[in-house]
Amino acid sequence: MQVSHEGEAILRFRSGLFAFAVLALAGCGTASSGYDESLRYPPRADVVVIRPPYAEPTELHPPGRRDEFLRTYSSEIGGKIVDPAAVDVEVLAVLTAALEETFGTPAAPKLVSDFTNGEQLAAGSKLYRSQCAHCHGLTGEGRGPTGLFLEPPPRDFRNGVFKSGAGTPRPSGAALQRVIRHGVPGTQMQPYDLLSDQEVTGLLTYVVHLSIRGECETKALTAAFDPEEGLLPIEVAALVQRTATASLEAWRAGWKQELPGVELPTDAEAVRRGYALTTMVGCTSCHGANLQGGAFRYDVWGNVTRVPDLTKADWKWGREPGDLHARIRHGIAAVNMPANPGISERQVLDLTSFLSVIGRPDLLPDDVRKEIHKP
Amino acid sequence: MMLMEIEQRVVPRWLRIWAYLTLICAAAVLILGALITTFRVGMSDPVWPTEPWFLVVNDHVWANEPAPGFLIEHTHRLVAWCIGVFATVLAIGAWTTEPNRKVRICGLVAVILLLVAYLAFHGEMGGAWRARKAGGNLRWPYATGALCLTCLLAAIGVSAWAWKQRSTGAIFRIVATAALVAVMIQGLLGGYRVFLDQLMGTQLAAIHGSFGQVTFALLAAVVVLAAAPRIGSEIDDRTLVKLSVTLVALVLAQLVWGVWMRHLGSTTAQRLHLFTAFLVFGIGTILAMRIFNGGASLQSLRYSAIQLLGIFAVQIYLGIEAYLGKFAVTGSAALLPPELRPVETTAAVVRTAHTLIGAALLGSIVALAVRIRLMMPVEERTLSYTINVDPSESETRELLRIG
Repeated sequence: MQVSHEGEAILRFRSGLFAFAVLALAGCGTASSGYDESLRYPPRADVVVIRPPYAEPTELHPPGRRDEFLRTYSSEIGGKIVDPAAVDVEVLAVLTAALEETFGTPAAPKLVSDFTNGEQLAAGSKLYRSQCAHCHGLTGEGRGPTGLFLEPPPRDFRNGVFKSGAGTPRPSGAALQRVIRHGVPGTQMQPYDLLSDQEVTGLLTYVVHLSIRGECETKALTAAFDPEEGLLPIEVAALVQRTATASLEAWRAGWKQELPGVELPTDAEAVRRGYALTTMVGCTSCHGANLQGGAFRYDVWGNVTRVPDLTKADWKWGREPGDLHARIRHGIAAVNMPANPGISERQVLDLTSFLSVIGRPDLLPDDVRKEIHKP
Repeated sequence: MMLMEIEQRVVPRWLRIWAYLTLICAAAVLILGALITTFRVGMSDPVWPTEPWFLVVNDHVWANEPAPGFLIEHTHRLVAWCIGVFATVLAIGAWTTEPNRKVRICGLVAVILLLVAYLAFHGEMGGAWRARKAGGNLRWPYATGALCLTCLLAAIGVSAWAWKQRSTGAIFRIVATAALVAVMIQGLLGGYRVFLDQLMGTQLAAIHGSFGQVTFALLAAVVVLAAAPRIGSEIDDRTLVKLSVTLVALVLAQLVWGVWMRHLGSTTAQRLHLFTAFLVFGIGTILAMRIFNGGASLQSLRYSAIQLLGIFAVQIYLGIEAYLGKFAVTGSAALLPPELRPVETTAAVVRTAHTLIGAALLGSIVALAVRIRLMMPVEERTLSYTINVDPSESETRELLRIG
C-alpha cells in the first residue's frame, strides 16, 4: 500500500498526538486511593492543654501560630500543659506500639468492636484522606496544612469532645451526620450533601476511630506527665485498653439518641419572656447586653474563640427548635457554655422562642427589637 | 513609512497594550492559584458562584476577620473575573480588526452571544447552588448549558470562516477568541472544583491547574501575535520549527505532571515530572544553540534564546528547592504524607515561584515558537495571506509577518 507524503505527515502527527496523550495520562495516577501501607499514625507532637490561663484572652491567635501560643500557657499565668516532648521516651515508644496494636494504621485502621468493621473503616479512611485530612489532619488533630490557617480552627477529635453533642458525653450519630451533610454555618466546614449514605457512614466511623485513638493517646500522655499519677511503661497498654473501652461505651450511649420534638409557644409574650430570661439565666454575661457577642474566651482545646453574635442567628449546630432547646438546656461544654438544669421547661421554651426569631427583626416585638437591633 | 502604517493598522496600539495587561492579569491569577494550592485553601469558601465584588460589599466578612485562606481564595476569584473582562475586551477588540465586514460582524455577534449565554449559565448555577443549600435536588442548567455550547460552535464556525478568508491578522483573532473561551472554561473548572468538591474536587482542581497553564500560553501567544510584525530576514530551518513545537508540547506535559504531583501526590507524575525536566532542558538547549549558531538571520531571536536559558537556570534551581522542601523532609513532618505536611513560608514562596516561572517558561516557549513560525517563508507556513490593502503595496505582502 502506498501512502502519500501528505498522508504520512498526518499519520505521524496523529501518532505523536496519541503518544503525547498516553504519556500525559500516565502521570495522572492519583494517590487518593488510600494511604501507603507503610504509613503510621505519627505520635502527638502538639501540647495537651489541661487548663488555659486564668485571664480571659484579648485577641485571636494569629493564623498559623496557634501551637506557638498554646506552649505559652505556663503555670505562672494559671495555665497547665503537657508537652509530649517532655514525656519519658520509653513510655512514648510503648504507647506508640500499643496504639498501633489497638487502632492499626491509616491504611488498615482497626476498632475492635461491633461498632464498625474494618472494611467500613478503611473506606472511611480513604475518603477522609481526600476530603477531610487537609483540615482535620492525619490523626484528627485539626492541624492539617489548611487547618492551621482557618478561623475558627477545625475540630480536634482527640479529646473526645464535640460541640454537636447534646446532653450525652459524645454526640449522636445523627448529629455528626448532620454536621457532615450540612456543614457548619459560619465556619469553613462545608456541606457534604452529595456523598452517598454509605460514604457518610464510613466517614463517621472513621472520625469515631480517630477520636477514640486520640483520647487514648491524650490520656496516656497526661497520666505519664502527672507527677502524682505517673505512668510506667508496663501500664501503658492496659491504660490504652481501658480508655478505649470507656470511650467506646460513651459513644455507644448517645449514638442513637434523637432530639425530642419541641412545641414552641409562638406568642409575642413568650418572646418577651425569653428575652428577659437572657439576663436572668446569664446569657448576657458572655454574649453581651445586646447579645451581639464579640468577646474572646478559651475553649477546652486552649484555642481562643469569639463569643458568637446571637442576633445573626448563625446557628452552627442546627436551627430547629429542638437544637436550640438542647443548647440551652445542656450548654456546650467544649466552649464552657454552662448547662441550665435548674430552670423550668417553660423557661427553656420561652428562651427557645426568643432565639428562634432573634435573627428576624420583623418577627420580634417592637420593644425587644429596639433593644437588640439598635441602629 | 507606508509599511509601518499598514503594520499598525493590523492590531491597534491600544489592543496590544491590552493584550499585555491581560497577560499580566493572568500571571496574577496564576500566583494566587499557586498560593491556594500551596496552602490548600481552595475550599475556604464552599459557596460558588459568588459575585466578583463579594469581598468589597460584604461588610460582615471584614467584621469577622476573615482567615487568610478565605482572602486568598476570594482575591483569586476577583482577579479571575478581571481576567474575564480583559479577555472579553481583547476578543471583541480583535474582531473589530477584521477587514471583511461580514466576517467582522459575525465574529462580534458570536463572541457577544457566547458571553451572554455564559453569564446566563453562571446565573443559573447560582440558582442551583441556592436550591442545593435549601436542601433541594441538584438541578443542572441544561438549557443554558446547551445554549453556551451552541454559541461556542457558532464562534468556532465564524473563526473557521475567518481562517478561510485568509485575511490579515486572522490567527490573532482566532487565538484571542480561543483565549477567551479558555478563560471561560477555566472559570467554570474553578467553580466546579468548589461546587463538586466532595465528588471530584481534587481531580477538578488538578485539571483547573493544568488548564490554567494552557490559558496562560494562549494569552502569551496573543501578545506575540498582537505585536507589530518584525521586518527582518526569513529563515529556512524546519528543524527549528520542529524543535520549538516539540518544546511547547514537552513543557506543557511537564506542567501537567507538576500539577498532578502537587494536587494528587501521584508518584508516577513525580517521576515523569523529573524525567521530562531533563528532556525539556536538553531540547531547549539544542534549540538555543541552533539559534546562536544560526547566523544573522536568527539575530532577532537571540535575546529570546538567552531569556529561555535564564528561565531554565532559575526554574531548575527552584524545582530542586521545591522538591527537597516537599519530599525530602526530616523530623515529625517526614511521618506525614507529602500533601499533609505543614507549609513553611519559604517553602510556599519557592513552590509558588516555581509554578509561576513554569508558566513563564511555557509562555516564553510559545512566544518563541510563534515567532519562529512567523519567520518561515510564506509558502512554508500552513496559512498564507493575501492582504486586502492597496494593490500598489503588493511588495509588502511577503514582509508582513502577521499570522
